[in-house]
Amino acid sequence: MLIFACIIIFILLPLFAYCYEKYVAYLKLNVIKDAVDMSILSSYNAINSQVLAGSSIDICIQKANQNFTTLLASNLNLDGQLNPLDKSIVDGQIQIKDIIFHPNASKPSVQCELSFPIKPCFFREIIRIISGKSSFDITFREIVEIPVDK
Amino acid sequence: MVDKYLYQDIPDRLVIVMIERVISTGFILVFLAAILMASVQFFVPLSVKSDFDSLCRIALIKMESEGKLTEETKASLYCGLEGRGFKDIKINGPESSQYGEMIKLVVKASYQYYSLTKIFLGEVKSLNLEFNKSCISRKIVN
Repeated sequence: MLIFACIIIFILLPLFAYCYEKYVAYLKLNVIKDAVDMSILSSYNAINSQVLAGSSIDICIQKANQNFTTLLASNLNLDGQLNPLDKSIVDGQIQIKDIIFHPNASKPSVQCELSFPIKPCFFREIIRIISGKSSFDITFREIVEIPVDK
Repeated sequence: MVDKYLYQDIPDRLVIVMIERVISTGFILVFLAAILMASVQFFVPLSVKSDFDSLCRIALIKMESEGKLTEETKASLYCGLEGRGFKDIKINGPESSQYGEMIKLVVKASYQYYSLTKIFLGEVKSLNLEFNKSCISRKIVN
């Protein structure tokens, strides 16, 4: 019985917690990536239609940035500074590390790098004591093609 | 007759120990199965939410390019959700929009699943889900 108890406490429970944490992190990352994709697509709206008939496209970067932040905040339930509001999937402030528009590439695209913190669901205190952190930062880079219908 | 000769030399104490082992092993196996089942059920709401979000996202992308929630998109989303076992499905989206306007898709549904509440007892739980996302209309209306 002692061996059985040890197997549950030291092997099964930590294994389950690890799998659960990984799955939660994976799902959160997917939700955030989806929101970023939708927000980047909104830069289509910042294309200057006056020069759309030409060989290259012109994007108003300021408007594209504004659209991106507004839509990201709306879809992830964040405030203007990208801090989480009630019932937000994000555990802390989303940081936009880099956002680059490539309007004149063969396929116009937007490259974006973001990071967001994630807090563990189980054994928070133990993880905090061992690692000295209460949350972990996940960084990802997303490149999305801008839909251009000339 | 053969069995009688085989088992007649085994002492009673050993038989009792073997019966005890069979019972305790059986109990441990059942207990482990219950723990495994409970831990797998932890993943059910997450998986259901993921399915729900991915179906709604497909409709949102269609809505973005079409500028509105068409009856076809709505019916396709409804069928998809119903096919995955969702109930009380409510879908709301704009019927028309201007180019560059922010449009919102709101989908609500519930999902019922069996969950263990105590170690060997279970009950049917209802999970209420909501998808509330926005996009910017890309449809040019002349």
